[in-house]
Amino acid sequence: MPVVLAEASAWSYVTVTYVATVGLLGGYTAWILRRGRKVGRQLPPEERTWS
Amino acid sequence: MTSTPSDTGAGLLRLHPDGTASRGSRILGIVVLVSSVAFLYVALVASAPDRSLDAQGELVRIMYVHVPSAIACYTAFFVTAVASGMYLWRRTTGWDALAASSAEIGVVFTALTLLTGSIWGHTTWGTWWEWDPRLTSTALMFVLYLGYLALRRAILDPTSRAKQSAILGIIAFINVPIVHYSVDWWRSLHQTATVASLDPQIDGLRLFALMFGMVLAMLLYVWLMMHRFRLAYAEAALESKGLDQALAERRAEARADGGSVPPSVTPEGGS
Amino acid sequence: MPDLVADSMLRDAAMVVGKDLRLEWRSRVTLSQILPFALLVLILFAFALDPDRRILEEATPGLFWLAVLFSMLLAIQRAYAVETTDGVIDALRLSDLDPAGIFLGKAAGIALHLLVLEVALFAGVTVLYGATPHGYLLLVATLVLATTGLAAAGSLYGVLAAGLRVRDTLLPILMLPVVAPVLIAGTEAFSAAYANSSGDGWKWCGLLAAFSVLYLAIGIFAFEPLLEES
Repeated sequence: MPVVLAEASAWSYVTVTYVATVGLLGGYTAWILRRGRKVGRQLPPEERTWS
Repeated sequence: MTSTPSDTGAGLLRLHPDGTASRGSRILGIVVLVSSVAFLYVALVASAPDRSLDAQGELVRIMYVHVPSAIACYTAFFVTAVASGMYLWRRTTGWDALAASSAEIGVVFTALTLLTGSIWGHTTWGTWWEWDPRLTSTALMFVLYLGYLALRRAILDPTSRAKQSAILGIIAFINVPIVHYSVDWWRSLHQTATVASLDPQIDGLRLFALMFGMVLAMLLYVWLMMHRFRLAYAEAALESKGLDQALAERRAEARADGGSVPPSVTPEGGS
Repeated sequence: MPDLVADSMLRDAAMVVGKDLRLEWRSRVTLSQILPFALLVLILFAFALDPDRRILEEATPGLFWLAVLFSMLLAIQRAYAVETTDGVIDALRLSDLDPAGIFLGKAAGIALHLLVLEVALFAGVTVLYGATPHGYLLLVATLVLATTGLAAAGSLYGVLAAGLRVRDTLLPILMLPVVAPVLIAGTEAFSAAYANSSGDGWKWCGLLAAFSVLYLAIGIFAFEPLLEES
């Protein structure tokens, strides 16, 4: 028998899910971009083979 | 095509001079960003809640994140296994960087899969964890690849690290189906209450939202890989530069002390 | 010629396992340290669970295999600790022994140590938890097959972790997810044996057999490159 939740509390679960998703993925993205810049500063331009 | 700090594009294509971006990755990044906004609209607004008989109502929207996330993490670990195999065959830094990057991104998506799966579970089970077979084997896989990342951190020599991680990367992926099969079988024997399945019936715009989510997850994976791979490659280059520099400094010291300097043997950097 | 290769592999394996058994006989580390640890785990389970209800007896299959798994970690660490002291592992690499043979020898050594531990643990759960065993054939088959799998995987992951300073903390998290299927299968097979309804139990033994074959195969191929790096 499925648990029937009130609409409002259903949306709270959905909200938590999407906020967590954006937060986790966004946070990871920011982290690797920042690390990328930090390493890039230490590496002379000729050794960066992607741009 | 080398770039100097001054010509890094204009407007949206202006790239940070020190960063891991390129024109290609910037374009992909814009596509991902725009698609994400569109996806959020479709997932949260446009698609109707599931009003069928065993309805999950609004909660089906959680699936639009959970399923794509799961697909992304399995893809990532598959790529790690393949890249590991390629490294053992070709022995170039690039394949090792690819394997490592994909594993790290895979761990992030696995964490997300577990998190969203647990939230979904709570809505139907009332508890945060019911040893659902797929979530349980995903949790084991999570620890498995945390172990892979831990191994990489534990080995200092780049070549040794690459070789040993490559072997582990392949074996770890072989373990994934074994763990899945055993846990699935195990849980099928012990399920007393009917546990709501993680596969709701979806169709129409809801199916589109799910598919959209999967495509978006794969695009995001590729974009993250581009940056993470470049980061790994740059860190490897930095590491070998550091080694070269240390060797040069030692030699300079030896000369300064007035002693004779042995013939220089520069290690071949990874190609 | 395949016959000669297999011969030398098995001969080298026998040499390695003989060496490890002689070492154990002289140092008695497994007997004097790992065995007490295994029994201690059984006692700790009783403190954690309620000994007056039937929980311990009902959970015997699972608790038995958990104790085996924890003891296995120590056994694997020990098997490779004897190699990594005093540059012995360099000697092993240079010794012209077939690496696959070294792998099988280490695995056999670990397996024999595990079997001794399992016999003691089996006596332990029978006495301490009051679990009356049935289905002896299934029990023995499970023990042999599970031990083979644990020893093969352990020998492989052991050499991976052996050369690292963090091996004591790394080996558990590498090994335990990998041997989770053995824990599941062993527990299910034992449960079937204890309940005297061995039907499903043999199927779980099949899983254990497949696991063992897989890890023996992987080990034979992957041991050499890992040995080189350790």
